[in-house]
Amino acid sequence: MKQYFKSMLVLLVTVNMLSAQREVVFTKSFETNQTTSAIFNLSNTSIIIEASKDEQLHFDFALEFKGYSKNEIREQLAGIAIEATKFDNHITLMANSVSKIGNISYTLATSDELVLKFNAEATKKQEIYRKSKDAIISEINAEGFTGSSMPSDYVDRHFKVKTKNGELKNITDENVKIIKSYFVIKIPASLKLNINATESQIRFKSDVYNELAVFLNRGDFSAALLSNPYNSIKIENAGFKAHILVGGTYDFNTVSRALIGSLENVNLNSEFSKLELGEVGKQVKINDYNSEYWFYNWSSDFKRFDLRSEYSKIHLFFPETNDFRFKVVGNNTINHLNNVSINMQPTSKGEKFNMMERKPNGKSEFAGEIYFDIVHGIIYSHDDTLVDSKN
Amino acid sequence: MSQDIRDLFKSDAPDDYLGSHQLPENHREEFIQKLKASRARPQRKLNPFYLFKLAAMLVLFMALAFWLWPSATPKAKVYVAQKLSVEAQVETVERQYLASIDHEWQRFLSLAKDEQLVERYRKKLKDLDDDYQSMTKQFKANQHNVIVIESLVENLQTRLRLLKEIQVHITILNEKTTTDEAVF
Repeated sequence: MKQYFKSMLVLLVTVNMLSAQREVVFTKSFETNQTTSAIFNLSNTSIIIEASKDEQLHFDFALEFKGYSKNEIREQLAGIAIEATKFDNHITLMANSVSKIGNISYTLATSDELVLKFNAEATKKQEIYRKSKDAIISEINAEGFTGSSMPSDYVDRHFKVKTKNGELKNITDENVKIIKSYFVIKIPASLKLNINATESQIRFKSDVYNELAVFLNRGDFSAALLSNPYNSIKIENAGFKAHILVGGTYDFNTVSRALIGSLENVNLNSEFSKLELGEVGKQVKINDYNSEYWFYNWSSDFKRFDLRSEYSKIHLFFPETNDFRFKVVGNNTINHLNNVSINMQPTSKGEKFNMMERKPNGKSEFAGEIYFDIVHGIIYSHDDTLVDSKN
Repeated sequence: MSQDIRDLFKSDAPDDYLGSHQLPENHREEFIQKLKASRARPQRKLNPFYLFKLAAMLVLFMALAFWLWPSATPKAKVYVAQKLSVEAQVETVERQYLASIDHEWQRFLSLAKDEQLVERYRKKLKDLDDDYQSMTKQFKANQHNVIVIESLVENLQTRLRLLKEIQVHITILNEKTTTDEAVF
């Protein structure tokens, strides 16, 4: 009899824990016209931005809870403040959550002992090889918002459960409570959009041609195509992923990993960041302080590429098929080219001089000029194009 | 039968009246017995729904007792221990990282000759520490939120990584010995 009751209750509790509960948090739509502008002020919020199929701006925010009791769900919902208003053809969205709600948020919930696995001395060495533009895009898609409800890949890196026998096991669905956020914002094509966000995840799911001004401090930013000459995107202490960037100014401060499939007509300012560029297109300019760059490929008509930097570490793969010019000026810089190191000593007054130059050989179609103005830099040229050009 | 009420208060009137209406000595007991005998006994009917409710409550109580009793006390203890454990583990991780960061900062100061570089790093580390303090408040509010714990550790990792990488960078620059201008 006891076993029967126990089994029934276990079944009831398990069914209750495993079944997800969806709660609509907020839904609202606004009419817009050619001059409508909008500002989104976000904190601890995850949003997905898509193109609107009508001329309206739509907000649809729902949360899906798994493993949460009704009281806990009530508490979570009570901790969310959200409001959207329109005044004088300007729409303001304010969304704030007391607890951090990502695209998928995991809260550990187990009676077994939790073990955190972080090692201050561990270092990860990245293998350097030429990646194609498509490979970068595949990487972005693989690392992006998968929508998976299984926490294992995410959590197992640093969290384990210690069983009563002292055995370390991976976290499973039973050991975590999950919140999945579905905050979809559909924007009309003419909307001028400003986003100020902290501790938030911003994802532009579809190609966007709107004029954007984005500031994100801590969190994640990802996008398909962003194309507008007036875009101004500032990312601090966050991750950045984009398939294609066309036009605009991008400021990266302590972006630990930026993956960009391709970019053209972009001014990029960066410091203390790591950026991998799948393909450099027309008229790209970079100003950098102490970042690490990977330039994997060049478009067939990149015209002119400018890098001005201090204390930068550059992994440079030269154009594979097209002809090009390459020039480096500066001082106190070293260029590793295969097994040869080309050094440029510092100068007392900081004046710059020619470090190296590769002139076009005329053997194939000219793609453009790569120009480096670099001080205290290290360049790793991962290619034999220069060696061939000597002959 | 009508009489003047004033006659009742005359001196002989009370004796006549009371003399003919003397109460027996055990009138109180008799009265109580008669009262008891005259009280109607309530009819006790058993309500089947009431019984069902009682049985259901009993079963539920027993079921909950079976389910909760063996594990209630240890579970509560585990929860407290686990809560402390996560906080303690994060504190341990924090201590390890901060010790390494401090060590690398001292090494960086002895290696770097560029004051501007040192200042930029000092500011960067302070900004990251400000962020860390802000995230710590979130961690205290919910110690089991995986994203918050990872953000805290990532912040520490970033500081340590930056300091280590700039030292490697400076060391490589300092190793170079020759000046060349190469034209290909």
